[in-house]
Amino acid sequence: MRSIYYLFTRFYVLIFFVLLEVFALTLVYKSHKYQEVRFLNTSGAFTGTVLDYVNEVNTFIHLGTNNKILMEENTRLKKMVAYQNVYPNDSSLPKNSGTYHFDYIPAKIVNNTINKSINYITINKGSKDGVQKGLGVISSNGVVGIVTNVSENFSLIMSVVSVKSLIGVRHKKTNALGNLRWNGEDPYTLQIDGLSKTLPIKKNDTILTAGFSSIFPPEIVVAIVKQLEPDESTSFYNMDVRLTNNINTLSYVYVVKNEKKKELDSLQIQMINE
Amino acid sequence: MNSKFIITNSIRFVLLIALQILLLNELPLGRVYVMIYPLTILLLPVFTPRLVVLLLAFFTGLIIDIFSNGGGLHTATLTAIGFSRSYMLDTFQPRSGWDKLDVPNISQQGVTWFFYYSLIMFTMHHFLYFFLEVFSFANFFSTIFRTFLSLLGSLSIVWIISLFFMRNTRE
Repeated sequence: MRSIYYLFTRFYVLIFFVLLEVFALTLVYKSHKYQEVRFLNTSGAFTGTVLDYVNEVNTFIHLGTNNKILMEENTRLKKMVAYQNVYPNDSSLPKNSGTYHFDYIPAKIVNNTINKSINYITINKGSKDGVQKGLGVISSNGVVGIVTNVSENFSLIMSVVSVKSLIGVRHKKTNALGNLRWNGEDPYTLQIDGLSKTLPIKKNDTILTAGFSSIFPPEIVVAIVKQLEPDESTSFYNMDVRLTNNINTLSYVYVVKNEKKKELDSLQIQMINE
Repeated sequence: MNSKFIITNSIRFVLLIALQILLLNELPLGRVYVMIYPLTILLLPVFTPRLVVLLLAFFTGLIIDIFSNGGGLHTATLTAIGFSRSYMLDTFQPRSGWDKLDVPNISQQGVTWFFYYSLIMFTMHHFLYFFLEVFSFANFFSTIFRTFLSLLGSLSIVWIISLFFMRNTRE
């Protein structure tokens, strides 16, 4: 007993160090294993409010760029409305079909980083506004990420610029499907795998959302092919793409809510269980 | 004297953490991540009890993690820095040993001493941080490259800040 006491008085700093370090490393391990950040995140009421306040400055800095982007979006939508008025029954228009009905919740970015291997974005809409875990998030000109944590007033999005992110995409010309990933190197360059070498894909081709998922609406432009070469060892392309939206300067995003997502998901879970 | 120490240290903690969270976390530098918050732990007075240093490091890391969605990365690295600080100070002590009121800063210990001290501690911190973040030794050289670029950024800011405050604290 005395020797234990002696050991403790002699090595209590080391013991404390080991305990704290094990705790911290458990957190790190969990953040790598699971989608959501369990304990420490910016969707909390206090952190969210502080960062929201600070982000006013950031919003102000990017005011010009964001204005331009919103203007462009406005013009595009106006053109679409005009077109729809002229040709009300044109089937090529992107509109809501009977299968999916997408609803959009506009939100403002509170905190945003691209300097980590798993990057999170905090937005100022939470469960009170109808945001749920697993919903997709888009901006006016591209895909942003997927909601991983929701609190009452804030939510956390895992951005597409994360090594754990995986989004189904489609090559516009050939309709071939692939996966959008990030290798953790350059935050402005993402990768697409699963596109066969036999496909006629060229530089500057457009990549869209896959359209079959219940998370993102179809026909959203995601990225432009930046560089591609056939992989020697597999039958796929090694492809680098550039996102159409600049994740770093975004200020406003839309959370995509699919009213039939729950129904669809429960059906798919049934299929997996059987 | 003691209360003066506590006040100056608290102010430094708040300012450095605010600078890190509000400004440096937002810099659009790609994968380069400038971190100066370890300075809070490095500049504690030499005779701060080791357990206090350790706990302060742990909670500072926790605060940085909460505000930057770090998921425990900053906590793990800064706790390690807090633990190794005393060994570092033992190795680097002046010929006559540490004095009771010594602070390991640039004004008291001189530019060269502080240069090596901060260089070694920050190198350790950044290597730990980036390898824990990647969580593997895949892409080893790009991680090293990123570490060095971030280290360069962090240390330049640390030295600029230290030199800026050097004259004020000299008595």
